Amino acid sequence: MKKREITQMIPVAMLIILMIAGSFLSANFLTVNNFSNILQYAVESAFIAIGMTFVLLIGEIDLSVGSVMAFASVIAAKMALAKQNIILILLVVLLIGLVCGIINGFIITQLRVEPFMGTLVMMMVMRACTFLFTGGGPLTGSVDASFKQIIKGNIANIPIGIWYVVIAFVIAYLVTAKTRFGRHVYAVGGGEETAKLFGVRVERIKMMVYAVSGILAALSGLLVTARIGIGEPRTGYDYEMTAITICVVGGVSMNGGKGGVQGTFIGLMVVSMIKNLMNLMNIDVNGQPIVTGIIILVTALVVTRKAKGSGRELVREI
Amino acid sequence: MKKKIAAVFIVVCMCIGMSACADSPEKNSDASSTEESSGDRETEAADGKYKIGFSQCVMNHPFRIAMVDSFKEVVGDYDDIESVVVEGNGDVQTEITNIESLIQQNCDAIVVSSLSGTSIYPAYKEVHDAGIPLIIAASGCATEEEDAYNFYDSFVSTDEVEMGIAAAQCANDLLEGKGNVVMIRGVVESTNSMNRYVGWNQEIPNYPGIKVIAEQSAEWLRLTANEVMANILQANDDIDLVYCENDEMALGALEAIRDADREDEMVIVSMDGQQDACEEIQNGGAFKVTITNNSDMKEAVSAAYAMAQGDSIDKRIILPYEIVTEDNVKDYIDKNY
Repeated sequence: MKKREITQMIPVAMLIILMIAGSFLSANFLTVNNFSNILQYAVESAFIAIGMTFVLLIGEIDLSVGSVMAFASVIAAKMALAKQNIILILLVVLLIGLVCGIINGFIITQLRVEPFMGTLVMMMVMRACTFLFTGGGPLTGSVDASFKQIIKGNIANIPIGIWYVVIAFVIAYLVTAKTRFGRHVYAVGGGEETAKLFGVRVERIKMMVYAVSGILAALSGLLVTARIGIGEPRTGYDYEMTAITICVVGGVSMNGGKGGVQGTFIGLMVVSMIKNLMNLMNIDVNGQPIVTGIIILVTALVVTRKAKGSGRELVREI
Repeated sequence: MKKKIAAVFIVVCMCIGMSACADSPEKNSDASSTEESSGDRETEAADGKYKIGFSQCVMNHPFRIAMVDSFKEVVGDYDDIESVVVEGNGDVQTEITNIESLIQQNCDAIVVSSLSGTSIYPAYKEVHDAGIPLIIAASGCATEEEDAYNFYDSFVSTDEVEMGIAAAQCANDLLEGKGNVVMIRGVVESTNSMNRYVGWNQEIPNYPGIKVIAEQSAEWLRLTANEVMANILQANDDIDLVYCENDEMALGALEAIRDADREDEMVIVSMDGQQDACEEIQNGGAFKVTITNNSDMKEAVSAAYAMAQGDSIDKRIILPYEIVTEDNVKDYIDKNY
């Protein structure tokens, strides 16, 4: 038991080491302002990475998140530019995410298509829909200042973006750790057949997981629109890769059942901090991917070590 | 049974996806007339019309869309031009296939706008080998040392190296010879970014007072530029000018500067002459200058038309760029939007 507690601290230690290293590399890194900045710009990645965590936990993958995000983003932009009610926009965005997620879930559970293929198709189709909807270029115009407040405001003197990140992770943690749905997600990831024997309705869990992933992707699309005030169809390219990277760096296994949202938070911080440090230190643009790659590799090596062997706990937990 | 349904479903999805990705309506409408006999291409086609094909690399940027709109508008003014427009969806393979299809359709001249660098050269060679006049519009082009230089007939575009030089001059004028500059680049390996960068770097050593303190990429995108600029603002207390390689990024950077409440400290120089950028210049904030890339296809079409008729034209036709500032922004908006 004690050993387990220690190994759980490794990712946190890694994060602290990176923060200390960062503070030596740039004097402007370890400041309240800068961290407020990092968190505010991490909201979209946070939402998508949390959705991806659930998908990875059941041992599958969702490649469509970037495209769903882009589609929701341009629809939200169209409505915001037409001065529609914010609540209505939010509902439409949630609906887009839900429908996309359910279609993904349907293709995978009912048509028995490999998740990689099913969500890849969804990724292509939604991206095309996005471009068809805007006619290629961005949707421009001016949105209400109140619409921009979705991401620009402050609550209790703390930028709203930070609230989103914190709330999203707290909810995600409670869902995975304290609810039956959360336990079933781990069970499905640990082994579908075993889970079935224990009475878990695997297909329904999968549907719900894809719905969560779709909804979170669509919500981050709404946030992007609020941030930039236009409908940019190129939004969210490669976000599925970013999200998977964040999860894996945080120790979420791509084989399912192992890891958790705490890890995802660490992964999010690591990836966001690297991006931030690159800009602060003004590292040569052409060399940036090398630095990113090495830091991600080192973190992943250290962090994923602890995930090994923890699968034994699964059966007892159900 | 379920598997069969699944297979059918996937195929349908893929078809929808692909048709949405690859096709433009113009391409389909002309597909039927491909099998004309290949006679002498220099002479007029059977129906008394010249067929001019236009291969656009991608349609996800206002500038690229403006080019296609301009092309359609310009050919509309000619009674004897039949036009075919194809779009490559940002993928060089698709571009090459598209250009091959234009050759198949017996075009009398082909206009190509590509961002694929040297990868597109084989397609230039195919057009050349088919004996069809080739006009390159607003994209990178082979230099005299390269083989591909012999494969095209005319290169019609703004000189983006010149635009980079102009940007450096504007920066120097605005700063009166002294100041710290932040530079936000597009996708660094793209032709546009490279040329603009070369021009800027050619000119900037002439102004020893100007210091580039940060140089980062924001991939041409507003959201990315917003974040990159927010980070740069954290690291640098003394910024006098921000130079962005396109307007989308400049608008993202401007947003970040406003969020940090530092709009009074610095000015912005940018490129493209997009409508919302011009409006920012008109509003008189930090956004001071945008240097316009020319999306007008009049020269390219007239070159293609002349070549189709068998006339010869200049190997390089340089389109003028325009520097839009507070002084002329109103005229520019009235004229273009």
